[in-house]
Amino acid sequence: MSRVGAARVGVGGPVGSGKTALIEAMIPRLTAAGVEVAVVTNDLVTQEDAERLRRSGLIDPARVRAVEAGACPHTVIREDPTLNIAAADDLEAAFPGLDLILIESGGDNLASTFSLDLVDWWMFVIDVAQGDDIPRKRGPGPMQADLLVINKLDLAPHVGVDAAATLAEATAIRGGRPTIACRCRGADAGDGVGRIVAHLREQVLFATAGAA
Amino acid sequence: MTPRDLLRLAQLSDSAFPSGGFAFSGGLEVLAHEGALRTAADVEALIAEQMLPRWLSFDRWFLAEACAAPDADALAALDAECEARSLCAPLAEASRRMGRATLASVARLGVAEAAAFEARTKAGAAFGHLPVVQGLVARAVAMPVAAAEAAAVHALLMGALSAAVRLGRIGALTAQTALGRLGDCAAEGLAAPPPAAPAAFAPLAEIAAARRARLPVALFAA
Repeated sequence: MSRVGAARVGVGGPVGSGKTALIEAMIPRLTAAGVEVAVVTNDLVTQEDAERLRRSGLIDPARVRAVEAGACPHTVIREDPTLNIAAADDLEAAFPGLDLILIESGGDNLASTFSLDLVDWWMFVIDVAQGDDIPRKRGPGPMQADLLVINKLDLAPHVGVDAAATLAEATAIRGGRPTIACRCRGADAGDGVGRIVAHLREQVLFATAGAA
Repeated sequence: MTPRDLLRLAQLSDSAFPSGGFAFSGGLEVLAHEGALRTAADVEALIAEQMLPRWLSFDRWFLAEACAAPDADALAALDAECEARSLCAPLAEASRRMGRATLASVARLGVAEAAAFEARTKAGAAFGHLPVVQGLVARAVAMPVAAAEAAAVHALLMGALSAAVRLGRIGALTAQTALGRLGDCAAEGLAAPPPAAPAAFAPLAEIAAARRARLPVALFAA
């Protein structure tokens, strides 16, 4: 595709895995690095995620657009991404200096994948509390995503999950393609969110290591 | 029609063709939520008595005029007239969003006229109302107006029935039975001459769509 404009990055994953929390954690880091960012949310039944981001104080509310999914969170990012394409086009027109548009999927299941007509690159977010067998199920979402994020690392001991083993298994199942564990709220011991932002900037925005 | 024309018609009227239509219910969601739409018969009646007549008396006129429009400026004038005559704001927004979504898809298929009109909408110089876009596309791919009308009315009926299936008001198989009967109604309407001027009057569906903002939770855009 010959489109020139902001990079479009998908953020998918099951309900409650922490997609919005991850975006909230990423925005200040992206902004600090000089990345101009906007967000499109695909809430399933309300504008909950869009409103949460607008009220977060992290981002100009006008830079957050909500797209309704008609009870089809798969369809709006894969089979018929045209409404999301239009929302991203509108954001680009309203904010010509944008570098990055994050497109957050509505909560979905492990079969959820993004159309490459819509995004240039995408990540899939799961969390340890959903069980250590999620990577083993080899759903198209965790398998095909450019980056797999395993969130809520701190909960692992409380739900009987061996975080290190889950991370290793996910990495192996994905053939060594990137998998990063993180904690979006509270102390993020391994700075997983920072590594996700650095990885995204390097892979999508072509920032060089150490660049501001 | 040649086999090529028939295949083109099947492609453009297929619910798998990306047009954004799946996210809109045309007021059906509000009526379902308020209890006015409980059974499959209620769904079929709403489509037959509100949505289909509205399409035949309003959208059909714009589609046919757009098919015959000599150039992009004439299309833009029709588009502006459609905006001016669209008194129900949520349905007008749905029409613009589905029109723009259709333009985005068709432009990516390499149809130059669609790409040019998409550029106008992006520049704020056109609204991109659905029936105008459907006429533009039909003309650009040399589809007869009768085929374009059939494709558009099929998309209307299937979109409403599909929304009702997702809302749990009609079964998927029952919806196909209803589609057969509604298709007969639509064919009867299409056999009559188009209206001399566009007019929309479907108060139940239009007022329902206007109440959508008051829903505590909504799956559909309108």
